[in-house]
Amino acid sequence: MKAFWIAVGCLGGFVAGVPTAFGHELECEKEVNGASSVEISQFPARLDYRLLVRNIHPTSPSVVFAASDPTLEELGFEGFDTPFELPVDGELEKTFTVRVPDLAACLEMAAADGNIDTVIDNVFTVRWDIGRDICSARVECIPEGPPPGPNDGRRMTGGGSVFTEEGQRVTHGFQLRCDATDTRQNLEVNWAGNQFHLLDLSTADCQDTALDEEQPVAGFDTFVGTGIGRYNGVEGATIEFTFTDDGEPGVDDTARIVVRDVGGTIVLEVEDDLTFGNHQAHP
Amino acid sequence: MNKLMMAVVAVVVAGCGSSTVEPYGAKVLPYELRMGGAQVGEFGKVLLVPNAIQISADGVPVQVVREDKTVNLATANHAERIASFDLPEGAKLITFRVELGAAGGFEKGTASGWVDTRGRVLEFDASADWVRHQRRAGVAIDLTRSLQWVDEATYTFVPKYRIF
Repeated sequence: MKAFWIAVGCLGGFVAGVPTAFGHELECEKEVNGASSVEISQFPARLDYRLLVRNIHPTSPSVVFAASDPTLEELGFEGFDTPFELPVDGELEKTFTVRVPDLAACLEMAAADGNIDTVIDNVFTVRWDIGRDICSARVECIPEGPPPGPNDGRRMTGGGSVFTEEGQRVTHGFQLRCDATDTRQNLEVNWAGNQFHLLDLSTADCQDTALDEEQPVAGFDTFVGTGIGRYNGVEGATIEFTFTDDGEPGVDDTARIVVRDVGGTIVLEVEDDLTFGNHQAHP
Repeated sequence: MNKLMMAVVAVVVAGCGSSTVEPYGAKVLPYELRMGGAQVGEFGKVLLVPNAIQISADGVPVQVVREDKTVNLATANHAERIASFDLPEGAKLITFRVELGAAGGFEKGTASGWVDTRGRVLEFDASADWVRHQRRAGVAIDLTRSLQWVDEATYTFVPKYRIF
């Protein structure tokens, strides 16, 4: 502990005057169905949440001033009766089950956490006298896939950073299937505070070119697609893109992206090698 | 002292002597928002891009100057400034919202790849008195707990972080 106080002493102006009750120290854990991140595509679904507060101070009890997960509390979670004290090595765990009848309910929950997307990722915040720890667990609401039987299961996943000719950084992340009729498509592009979110993949063309996707051998290395989506929250925007996988690491992979707003004006045009990240074709 | 506490302290210490170099004359406001990593483990690089930053005082947006940069959370003992902001007189509660770009990157040993950060948002609040006193707010992301392995070239980011 002595080393810690020495370190705090070095902080100078940042912590001058901070109360000496630095002794409290807590951490949180949050899981859903035993994991940090789950996907649900079969409905009705059951979500078993586990929230935990633990005292990690080595020698002193710690007082939990607040421990809250507002989204779960809106759904009926009783929450933690704060404040309370945890002894050394002490922890308190609570569980809560949410039943999700269908995809629409799942998407409604996803929107209720404040972000319009397909993910329920509300946070659990634990506060003590001068600090807080924040934990999340993700539930992605996914439409059911195509019916069993012969289908094109090929897909490409990945993401990374590219730059426009003007030097603007653009990040993209995606999970795209070569069968455009498959509803399980996801693509997001961000740049300079802007966001494009794919709502519907219109066309998909998975091509086997002279590039080499290496492992796994997928039988294609280039995904060419078009779609419609939401640009800065406004639906009706369109996107054209080409993503390539030229093996690992992803420095030889490329991305070409053109986004047009609902009026047809090009708001993003970029074609570049990945600065970081990777594209991966899957058989 | 536990490892996370040490890491957070290290991040804060690094923040004292910022080495972030901004273009000469770049506008900087009086208060800083910083982001760093803790519990780095075996990661050589963990790169994230803050795409949008909103800061409000008692529900009213304040002036923010966002820094367009990639943050390497695996950089030991360093929390990078990702924005500076102003605070109005009399403000009580400051709310921070950092929207990440769609993808990050990682290097771990000989492996590298992308970090799925689609739709990820870091949100927290702090009292204005606390922010004024420190002249900054910081986020220390626990990398060991936040990065979930998907495959050799992919991690997904499930944020677990501490405010300092």
